[in-house]
Amino acid sequence: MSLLEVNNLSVSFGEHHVVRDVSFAVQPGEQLGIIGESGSGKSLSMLAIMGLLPDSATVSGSVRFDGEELLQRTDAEMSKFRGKHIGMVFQDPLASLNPLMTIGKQVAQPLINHKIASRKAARLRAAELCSLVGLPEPQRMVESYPHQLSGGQRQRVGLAIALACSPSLLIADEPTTALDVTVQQEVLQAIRGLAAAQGTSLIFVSHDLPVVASMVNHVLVLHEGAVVENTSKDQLLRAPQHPHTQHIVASAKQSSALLRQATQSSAQ
Amino acid sequence: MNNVILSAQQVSKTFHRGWLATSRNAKGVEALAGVSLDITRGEHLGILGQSGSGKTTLARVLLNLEAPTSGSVVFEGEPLSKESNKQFRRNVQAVFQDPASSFNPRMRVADIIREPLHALEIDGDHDSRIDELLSQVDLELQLRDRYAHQLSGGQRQRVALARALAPRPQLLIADEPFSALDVLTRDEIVSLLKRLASENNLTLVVISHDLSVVVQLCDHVAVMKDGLIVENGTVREVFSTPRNPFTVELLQAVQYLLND
Amino acid sequence: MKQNRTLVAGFAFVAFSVLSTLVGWLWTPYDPLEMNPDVSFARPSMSHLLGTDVFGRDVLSNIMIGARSTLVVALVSVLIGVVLGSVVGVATALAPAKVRQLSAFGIDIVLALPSVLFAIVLAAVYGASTLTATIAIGIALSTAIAQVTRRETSQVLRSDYVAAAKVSGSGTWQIIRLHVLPNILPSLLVQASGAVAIAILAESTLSYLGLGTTPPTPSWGRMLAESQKYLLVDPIVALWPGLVIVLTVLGFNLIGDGLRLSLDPTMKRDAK
Repeated sequence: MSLLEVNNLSVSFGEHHVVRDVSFAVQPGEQLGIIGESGSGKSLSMLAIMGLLPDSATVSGSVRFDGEELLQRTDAEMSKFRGKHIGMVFQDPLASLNPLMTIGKQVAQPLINHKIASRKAARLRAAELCSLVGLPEPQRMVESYPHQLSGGQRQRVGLAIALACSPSLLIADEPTTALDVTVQQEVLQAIRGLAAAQGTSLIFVSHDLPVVASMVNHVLVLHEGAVVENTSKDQLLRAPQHPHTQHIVASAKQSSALLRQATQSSAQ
Repeated sequence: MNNVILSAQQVSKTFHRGWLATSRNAKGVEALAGVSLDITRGEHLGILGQSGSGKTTLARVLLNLEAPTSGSVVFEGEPLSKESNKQFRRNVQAVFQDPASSFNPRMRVADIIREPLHALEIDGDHDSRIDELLSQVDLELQLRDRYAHQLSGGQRQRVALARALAPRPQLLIADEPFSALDVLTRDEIVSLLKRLASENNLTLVVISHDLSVVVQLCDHVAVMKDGLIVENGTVREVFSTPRNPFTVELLQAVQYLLND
Repeated sequence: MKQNRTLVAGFAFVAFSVLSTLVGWLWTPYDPLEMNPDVSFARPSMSHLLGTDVFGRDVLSNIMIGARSTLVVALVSVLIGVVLGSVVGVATALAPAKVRQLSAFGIDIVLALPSVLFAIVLAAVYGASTLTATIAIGIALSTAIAQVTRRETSQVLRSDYVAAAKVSGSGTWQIIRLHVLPNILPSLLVQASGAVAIAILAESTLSYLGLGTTPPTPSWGRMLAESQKYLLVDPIVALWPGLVIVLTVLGFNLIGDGLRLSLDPTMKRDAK
């Protein structure tokens, strides 16, 4: 049985259809990439899965997690899933952290909320998690506040929070888009490492094809709310079917060719 | 005529915080720590840096939107001062990062492009010049009456380019013009910019954190870190034989792009 | 469209006071000052539509004439407040940093002084009247408006589009005209409509204290204040001035909202 099965998911705001009939599945231990430009519906689809859409949204279709239907559940029911079974990392590290709470408290929070650990044990686990995501000086980190951290560090805190309860699925929505290129790799490394260590399945959402390609083995391409391609990463890069995907792949290949050309030293 | 259009000479810029801050007040952020840069006529110069490197501050100082704390920016042999200089404005134009905020939300496209024509007292019929500029950037003329928020990100950047080209400048400074755009739109605007630069004999300065953009558009590049230029040369030189450890770090960070 | 309904509702509510003022100039059912002690506290009836007050004066006539002072005070003082406040606000935002910080501090101090203080000073020098009350309230209103205007102007001045305007060669006056004013206008309208409420209430306080519209000239605010004494005897007397004040204040708020909505281009439907 698939870990996550999405069938005919549609989201609309009044007359505006933003997600159209999207279907895909994620197997346990699999890494799925979802690529799309802004407005393609990729983030909204993830919010639909998590039950985080605003009330003005009309959602239809089916989202089955471990066999259980998630759509149409109440917010109270969904909050039992969020954090515990499905974790999510967002794009803006500063906005997703409470500026008034220490890092340790925020990382420990999901453990306490889902009654997985006592307050004391949760704090200890928080320090462990900080070290697992590669944050320096975990004991000091745990007492720090978000504004004292760099963007890359904050994003890793976000990751630690998302993975605190060892969920079986991690959804990462543009986690490195707002970060400097020198820091991106560290965060991606942390995601790969922790997900592998905990056996977490991954859905990696981004508009950046090369970044996604470095993280996953299967790719979904969204364009204007609909799925236009659903193949393995290698297939996508070798022989993209849909014209939109062909454009994206061609563009990425061209960029990397130019970069390769420029970086080749004159000695070669 | 001098080959160097604009030059920064030992430019430093420190931002002070706090009430009635004076120079004795040590609490300041040093955004630029002594930057010297010559912009040569005809070149496409990339300024590459991560967040906090000072690249945007450098752009603002070069555009005379901020006065340097020390050092000066020289245009046509004269250092820039606080006084407005229409000659400077006619010749040095800019495109900014966020198409969503670079336009007055209450102004229509035609009026946005009209502003420089009016302020810089450009001769000729403004309305036909506006239409001419819209065609140059491949925008339908009907869009003249739209507001910025009614346009897509790509369309907005085209309007920004039309506005910048209105006074027929020699130099165009683009501060992260592609960061807010999708990959495909970015490609379109990059080609557009290349075309406009050759059609209008423009010298370009492109500020970006993205190496692929610099590689596509520029022949020279200056790498910035912590308010200083750490490496400067042709794109080929800098990218194939980087000398500064930070440049090496940058190039390593994009290795994954080369494995596609 | 929504903004038109808001505007229409606003004008409808304000219409009463406007009509009363206009009609009142030509005719009122009774002379508002005419006292008739034997019919004091009369119930509303065909002869006195809204009843009479403690001195037997016709309430409706007093309301109609009172509309005049209320509207004059409200509109003129808010006008003073908005003009003075926005000029000071914009000027302060444009000033160099040190001047800016000092004047912001100065405005804060003036802001803390209640309008009553100005009214007392003016009344002491010139004698209390509707005019002194109006000016006093106007000055008091201008400080809060200056504060908000200064912040909003600073925000506009810091924006990318003003940077682009400078690069396009626009000078300070052009920037104020093209960019600052159109973008602070909606906020000014909202502030103005809120200020009307404050002005009306301030006028009632001042009139009650003898620092504004002096008796016997009718004033809604004073009618309301005076009727407090007789609440146990005849509560209906308080109802009428209270009702018209609420109606007028609500009306101005709706007008402010409606104008703001109709001036906002982002409300226009997208046409991509």
